Amino acid sequence: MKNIIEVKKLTKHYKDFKALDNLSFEVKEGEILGLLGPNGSGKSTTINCILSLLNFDKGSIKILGQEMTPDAYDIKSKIGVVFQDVAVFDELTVYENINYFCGLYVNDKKIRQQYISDAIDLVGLKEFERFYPKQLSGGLLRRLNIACGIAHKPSIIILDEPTVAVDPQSRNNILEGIKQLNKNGATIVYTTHYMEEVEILCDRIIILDKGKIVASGTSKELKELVSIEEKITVELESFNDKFLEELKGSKNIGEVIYNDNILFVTYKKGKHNLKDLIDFMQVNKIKYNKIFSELPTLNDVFLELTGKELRD
Amino acid sequence: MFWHIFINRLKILLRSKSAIFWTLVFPIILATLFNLAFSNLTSGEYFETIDLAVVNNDNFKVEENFKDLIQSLSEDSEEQLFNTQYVSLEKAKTLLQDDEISGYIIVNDKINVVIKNNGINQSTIKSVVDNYYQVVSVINNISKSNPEAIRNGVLEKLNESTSNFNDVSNENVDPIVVYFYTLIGMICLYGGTFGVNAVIETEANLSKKGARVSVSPVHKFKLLLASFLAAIVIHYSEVLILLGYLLFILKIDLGNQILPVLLLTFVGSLAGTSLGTLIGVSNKKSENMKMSILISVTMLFSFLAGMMVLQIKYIIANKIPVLANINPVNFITDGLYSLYYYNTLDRYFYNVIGLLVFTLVMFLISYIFIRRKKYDSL
Ligand SMILES: Nc1ncnc2c1ncn2[C@@H]1O[C@H](COP(=O)(O)OP(=O)(O)OP(=O)(O)O)[C@@H](O)[C@H]1O
Ligand SMILES: [Mg+2]
Repeated sequence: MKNIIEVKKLTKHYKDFKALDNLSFEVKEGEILGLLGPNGSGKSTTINCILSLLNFDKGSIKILGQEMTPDAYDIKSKIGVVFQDVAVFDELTVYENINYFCGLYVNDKKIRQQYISDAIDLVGLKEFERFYPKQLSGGLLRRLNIACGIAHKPSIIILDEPTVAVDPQSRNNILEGIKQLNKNGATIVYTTHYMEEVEILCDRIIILDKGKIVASGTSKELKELVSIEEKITVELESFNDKFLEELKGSKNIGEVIYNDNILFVTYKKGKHNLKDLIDFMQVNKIKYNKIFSELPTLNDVFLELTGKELRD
Repeated sequence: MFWHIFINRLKILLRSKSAIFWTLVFPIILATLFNLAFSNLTSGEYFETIDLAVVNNDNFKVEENFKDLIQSLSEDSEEQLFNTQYVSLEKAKTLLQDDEISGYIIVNDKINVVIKNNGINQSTIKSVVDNYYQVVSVINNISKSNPEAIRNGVLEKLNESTSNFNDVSNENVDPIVVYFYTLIGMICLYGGTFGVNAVIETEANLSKKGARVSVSPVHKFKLLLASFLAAIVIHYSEVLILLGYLLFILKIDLGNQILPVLLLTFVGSLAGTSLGTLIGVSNKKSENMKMSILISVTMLFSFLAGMMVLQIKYIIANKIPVLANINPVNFITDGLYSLYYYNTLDRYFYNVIGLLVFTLVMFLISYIFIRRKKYDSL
């Protein structure tokens, strides 16, 4: 598969603060690449460097095999960007906003009309065409922001946290829309600090922290990086310290936490962990109401790689 | 693409309520208030005659036509312009020193006007002398080419011009009009509002919208050009509406040379836009902050051009001439004023050129910021 975007050894300082540290990665044709990282990890900075809006200290950025510069208009015409902050004109209606931005890419009026109506359908703003941005809820405004960025049917789409502070309905609408765009052939870079989103959406994930790539791969590959196999939670009627110590000594056990009748156990790699735990409780005649097992999440990956939670 | 941007910018500006308020509604309110305040002030108060001294030397006595002119302008009538004393040079100097007179005239090889400070009275005296010279040079030309003409009504011509002075001065000299001139100057500078807006919404480091248009394949200068064009179309239309309001509703007399007034205010509108552009692009303060800076700077310029206290204009012109020569409001005020009071366009064009230079300098400094396409931070 062809590399659509190639970032090599990208380093960027804001004054003395190192925001990006020797970042290298590529975006492959037709994929949805997720850039996952906590607040301040450098996601927006990376994107703005790729778009040639920001100066950087070292490294190179190639898009479609060509060096990216502010004057690379042929490349720019193929990119659609949805910035983190909503950027629309309060003086223009939903339709007029999309028309204005789309018109910076598409000259032909007929084609443009078609594109605008496609974009409006995609984000589900048909009923709100004649509304002004001030009349839209936060979620609808985000959808408009997206429509403005992608109406010209670009083959490369870069979205910077398009779902921040969005209601669940709008979020689903947005994620579905992005999947649709990808199906229609667009290569997509998607940044977020919601791990659930990258899991649903992305073919490949890059985890950023403090301007560095800490890991990358598919969601499955990333989860294999962690030592945890599964996490088991049990709701008990009673428990005591003797059992707790004994459990901690069992095989494959990572962490054991007991609090308010809730027992939480993480198991390292290994098989039939759940069965082992149930056996342990039966042998010791410990009564329980509920028991369930979870697989590790990207948050666990992040926690293990950086020593902190993805979301604070 | 250009027209697409231009048309949409027009739409955006026309619908920005606060910008339209500041650049159109507010000036109309201000003009109306001015008019109310001044109509009370002037009614009943007739035009004052100007205290003038003429040095009664031999040269003056020989300059018969000039003598007649001064005398006719000093006759005690409804239309008396000067209250003239014929005195010695020493006496004239003392009178001027003690502010007993606005200025004195001394005829040497030329006719000189000596004044202590600038003002309407002083300009009136000067314009009388300038006018006289013009007529004299016309007569000289005619007499050289056609001596016959001398006999036929040269003096009539002089008389005509005498009554001309009466026209211009007695009925129309109105210091209040100058307040409206500064108001027009101020309004021209308010065009800066649209200049601020145009750059903020184009520069990636100044607004989110700027970032958005910066990643589009449209050349930045095309974008800026279309935005400026829209800004100037809207703002100049506002200026025209305002001029119409002053002329036809408030019946402010702006003289009868309307085309030069239109040109001057157009250049003024450009100057305003350029000032706004520089204020907009040169720093990373918020848009509101930039608007406040623009309004403060405009107010300051207007004040220095005599908006609140007319005397300030003359004090500046005398004591800090540099300031008068970089103040765009002063250029506009002075340009309108010179159209009104002088028969030649020299001073008018000086002001037009001054405004153009101001505009150019503003745009050139702005260019240093505008030409950047990548930024250290957004
Ligand atoms: N203009 C700036 N000047 C100085 N430091 C900055 C500037 N912009 C960003 N930073 C710093 O650079 C780091 C990376 O910022 P960036 O906006 O790229 O992070 P992010 O991953 O997009 O975060 P978020 O999830 O909050 O959007 C942060 O620590 C931020 O404080
Ligand atoms: Mg960000």
